[in-house]
Amino acid sequence: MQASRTTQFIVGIFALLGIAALAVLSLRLGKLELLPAPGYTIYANFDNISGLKQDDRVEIAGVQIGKVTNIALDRDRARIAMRLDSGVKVDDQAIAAIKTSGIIGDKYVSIALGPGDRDLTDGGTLRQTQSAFVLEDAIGQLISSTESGKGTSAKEKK
Amino acid sequence: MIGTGLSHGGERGRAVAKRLSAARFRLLAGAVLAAAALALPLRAAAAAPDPMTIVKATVDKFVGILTDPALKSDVSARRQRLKDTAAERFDFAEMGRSALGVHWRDLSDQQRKDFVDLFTRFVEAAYISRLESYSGQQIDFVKETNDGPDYAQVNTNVIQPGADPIGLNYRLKLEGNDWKVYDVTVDNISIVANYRNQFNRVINDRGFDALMSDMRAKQEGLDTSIAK
Repeated sequence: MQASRTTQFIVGIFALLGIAALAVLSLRLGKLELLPAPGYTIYANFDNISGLKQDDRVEIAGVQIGKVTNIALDRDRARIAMRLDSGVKVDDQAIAAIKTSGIIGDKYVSIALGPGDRDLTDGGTLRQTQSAFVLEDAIGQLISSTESGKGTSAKEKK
Repeated sequence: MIGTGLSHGGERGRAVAKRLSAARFRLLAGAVLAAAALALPLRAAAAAPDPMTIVKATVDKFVGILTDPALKSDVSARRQRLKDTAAERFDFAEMGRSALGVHWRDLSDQQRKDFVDLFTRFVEAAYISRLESYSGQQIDFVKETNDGPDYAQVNTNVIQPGADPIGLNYRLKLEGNDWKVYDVTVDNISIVANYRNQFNRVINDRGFDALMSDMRAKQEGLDTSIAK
């Protein structure tokens, strides 16, 4: 028995709904953003962003307020773009620091707000930044300071 | 109507018009040249010396004071000279304000003034003994970077025999016609950023008055220990 027009129509609607649901689900799971979320973009230049990746968190006081959306090279410094939630205000004297979650965890950007007379708007740049802590450099410094310490005590013994 | 006027004036009108516009042109050209001539030397005089030169001059002053044999015996006079030299170049008010971060906004004018006074004495006490341990290390001026017309950074290395050099960078801001230091980084760690984290923790946990009393106690302790 051939289905009536109405039945075909309803089946078609259900099929479309099913496809739409699949699309939403896969977008959500894939964390794609088709429609840009309301917010604004600010920039910051660092000497060393070692380990920071796109989509890493941007936080104030441990609360996520945005994420890293782009990493580029500006002469000999790294220029990162951060997309911040629209309600969040960051003044132009805030300090952006790259920190590590735990000892060998993910990197994230922590923003410490400043005394700020002026808040950054879309496209603004944070002037003061604190580069990533590089474990190898710290170990290197520790070794060289221990060695020079050893040298001094050896001389003192004489 | 305009057309009528022109055709009415005819040859004579056009000749007059030509003479007038030539004179006006000369007047205009003269005025432009005069303005340019006046503006040029003014701009050259108004341009501030570059940040690298200024930092070098300050560092030379410090080294001069620290190596002056006449001042070696007079500790208090030498310290005063060091403090005066620092006050010339370092904007302690701005450093203090920046170190308080977001909490600066909540303070009254009197609290701000008290804080800046204490912060200045605190930083002086903290770094005086480090300055006084200077034993002739060579200081290399590595480079100057500009961030727009009002901001700059001067990078230096303090060469230590038997160890890696210490990177000492000065961040400067043009205030009026003078470059002032608003932050110093030691091996890429900013002093102001460090203070901001510490002060933030104290103020959030125990309040601004607790920060002031902690700083006062620390500063007095430092002054006592370096007086020996």
